[in-house]
Amino acid sequence: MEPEEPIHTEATLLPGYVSRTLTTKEREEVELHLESCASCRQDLQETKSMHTALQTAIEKRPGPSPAAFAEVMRRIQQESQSAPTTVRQGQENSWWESIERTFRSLFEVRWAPALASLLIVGQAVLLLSVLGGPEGEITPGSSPVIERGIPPGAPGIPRIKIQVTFVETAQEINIRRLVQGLGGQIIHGPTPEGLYTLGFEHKGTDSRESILSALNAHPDLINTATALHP
Amino acid sequence: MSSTNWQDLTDSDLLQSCIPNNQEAFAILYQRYEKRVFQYLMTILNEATLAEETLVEVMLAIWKGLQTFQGQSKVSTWIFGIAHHKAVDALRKVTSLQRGGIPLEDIVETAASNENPLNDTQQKRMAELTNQGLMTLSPDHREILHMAFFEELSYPEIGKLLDIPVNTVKTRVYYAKQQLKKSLQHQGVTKEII
Repeated sequence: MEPEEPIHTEATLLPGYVSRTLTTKEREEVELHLESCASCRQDLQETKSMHTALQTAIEKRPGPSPAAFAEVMRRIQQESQSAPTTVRQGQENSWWESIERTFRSLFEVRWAPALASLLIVGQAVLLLSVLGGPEGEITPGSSPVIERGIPPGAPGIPRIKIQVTFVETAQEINIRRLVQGLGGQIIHGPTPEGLYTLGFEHKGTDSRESILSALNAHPDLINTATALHP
Repeated sequence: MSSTNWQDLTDSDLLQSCIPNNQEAFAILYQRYEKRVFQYLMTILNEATLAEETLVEVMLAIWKGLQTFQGQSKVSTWIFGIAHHKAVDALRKVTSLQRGGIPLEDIVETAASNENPLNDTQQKRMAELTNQGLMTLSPDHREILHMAFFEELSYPEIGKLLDIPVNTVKTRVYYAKQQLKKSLQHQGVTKEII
């Protein structure tokens, strides 16, 4: 991996020179250097050939099958159907249909009993959590009801959520070993920014800090770790 | 306005058009990027089935993340950023050996073209050798060569996408190029390609 001889700074610019992505200043620097450097002139020829070869090689690969497109659209539709409110907003119905729906909803009374039931259940859950919920960790501004809804299979135990980025070369088996060793699991990710959310059972007042320390003690696996507040 | 000519829209306008859950606009965005993203994933993952599975994940992440696009970078840079994270994730989960998938060179072998036969044979040979050489490199080196030579991204764009300094991009491209050259020389094919 180490260079056999010192490389010219301009040599590192040659790929950009060939693909015409350098700034004007960089381009002029390269051209000036090429006038007096035979080895970089040879390197430029090689870079041009490699550029063409790679373009051809990659271009000749077949594209994905139509099944991938079908699968993406199927899953989008599936998700849209499971989120009816957002679908309604997105569908471009005619103005008449939307007015009609609005007026119809004013006379629609079936939602009233359902809303009343929801309010009663909500109040009951809130009351129960205040009276008999887990101690300490729920801050005054947080919503214990929402918090309880997150961990499936762990009723009553709030979850610590930590957002992490993994070292790119980290192997999944080692990541899994670390996270599971701390009693957690990956509950979301990666996001478009490469973030993952880990969930851990809340086992005490200082457990968030101890989990963060344990994660940060593995710089070979964890790049960044930040606790998410409920 | 149902007769929108989606094909004429810029990437940025097309992406904005997708935001109120517009599947028609998203289908155009998909078609615009599917091959480029797939080729990029093939460069890194070197296995068609895995690349296709990852392509699906990338496209779904784009759909779900439409609202998060800030417009601070090009749409293509944002999309390749997502593809990069998904590819890294896929690489973590499985290796080509474990999956026993179809190696890239076999796919190239079957990729037929119906142009001039002599030209086609030469091009096919060149493509094969370059792909074989490429696949001897580390995923990092393959990826950066793909970005610099095929996608023709600028060094700052690559740096932003991979979250590395521009100087690291320059040296990584340089050493990746040297590695590919060595690999081709090792196969005794240098004269045909370089």
